[in-house]
Amino acid sequence: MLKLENVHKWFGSLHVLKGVSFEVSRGEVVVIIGRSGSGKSTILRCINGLEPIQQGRIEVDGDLVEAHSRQVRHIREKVGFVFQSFNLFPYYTALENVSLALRIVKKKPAAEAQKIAEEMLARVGLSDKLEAYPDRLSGGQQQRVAIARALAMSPELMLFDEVTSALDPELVGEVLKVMQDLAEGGMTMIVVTHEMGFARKVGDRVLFFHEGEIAEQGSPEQIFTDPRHENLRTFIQSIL
Amino acid sequence: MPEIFIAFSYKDILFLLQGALVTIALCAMAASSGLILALAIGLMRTAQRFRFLRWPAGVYVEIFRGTPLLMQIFIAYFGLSILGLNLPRFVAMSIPLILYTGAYMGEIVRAGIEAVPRGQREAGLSLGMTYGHLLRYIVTPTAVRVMIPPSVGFLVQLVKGTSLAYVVGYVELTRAGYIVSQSTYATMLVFTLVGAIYFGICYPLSLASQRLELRLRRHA
Repeated sequence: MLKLENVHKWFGSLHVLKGVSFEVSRGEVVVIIGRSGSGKSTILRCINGLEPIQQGRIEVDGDLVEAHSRQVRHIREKVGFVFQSFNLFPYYTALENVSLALRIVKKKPAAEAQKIAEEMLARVGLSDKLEAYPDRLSGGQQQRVAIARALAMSPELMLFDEVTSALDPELVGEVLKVMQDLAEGGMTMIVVTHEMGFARKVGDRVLFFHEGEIAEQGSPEQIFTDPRHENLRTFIQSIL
Repeated sequence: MPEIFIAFSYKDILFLLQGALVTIALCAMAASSGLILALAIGLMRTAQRFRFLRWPAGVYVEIFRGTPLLMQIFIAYFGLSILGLNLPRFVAMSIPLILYTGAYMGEIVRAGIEAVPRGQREAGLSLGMTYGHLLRYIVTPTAVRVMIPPSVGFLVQLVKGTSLAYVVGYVELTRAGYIVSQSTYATMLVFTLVGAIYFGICYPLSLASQRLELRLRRHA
């Protein structure tokens, strides 16, 4: 359902993606690992059309992703994005954060939008925080609201960009749990993460990014027990 | 009772209050029309898709901030009539004030828009929102809160700025004060009163903004 062909991306003169190609099929959980600056977050932003690419093709369900085009927002309705820094809307309650796009993008009646939002927040275990504003929530709770907000749009693909990196260690578990439930429910996911335990347990396939390229890919088993690429070996050692 | 107080009749006070009404009308005109202009300027200055709109808006802001309001009033008031445009005095006086407001408030609008963290806009985009959605639902709630204090600061400046109209003989509060002081010779008293009336216009603005800020703060 997702296809990347020879994707190149420059920030000015900095060549951050150097011909990235991979495919993701429905229901698959792909985990992307790599050092910071390896291009792993950038590739997610390109898939969602938040960053334009200079060469190559990205297709979601056969539709070409073009940043800054008018059609790109219809692709974004199908692709959920969860950010490292949560990015909740500060002047809306948890419930409103989740229901806003349902009302204005999906044009659902207020009552229906609210019902869906309540369901989504229940799914991430926040039924008791519906009326809370983001600054009254912990990091883990904020990130779960952000996941509920993306899920409410009933996306076909979910992108997670280092979603636990900004959290206190004791809050990481609750967010990973929600993501694991999602994966078990059959959601197609691309997860950029430093949580190697999660990558091993939940991932169907692991991509190792190094200097803007996929340096190695394989099953979690193979990547973590039998890494071939020299840089992957040192990377795994440095993390463990 | 000293003679100066006798010379200062209730008619003089009415005349001053009439001048105050003109001042308020000028401000209301400049603030309302100027705000609409400022919204347009702020949006142009922050345009993403149509970036070419940025520079004309920038040039406009620089010109009107970089020249004294007094010159703008002179040019609008006398320049337009030299061009053969005989506008009513109120309109001729309003034009420079509106343009001046548009330039200053335009920058306040820009600052408000830019105060919204990029991540929030991206979150909106990632949910399929349009530019219009972002402006209305994501940018406005933050921008309005950021804009209130500098906007009120500017409005107060605008109220006082209208006093420059006196140089072209337009009878607003300051000019009215000048006329009364000429006929009564109670200069000190008259201008103290004029100052008090200006304060009476400006201070409620500050109070209103404080209350508005407090009310908005309660929501998050």
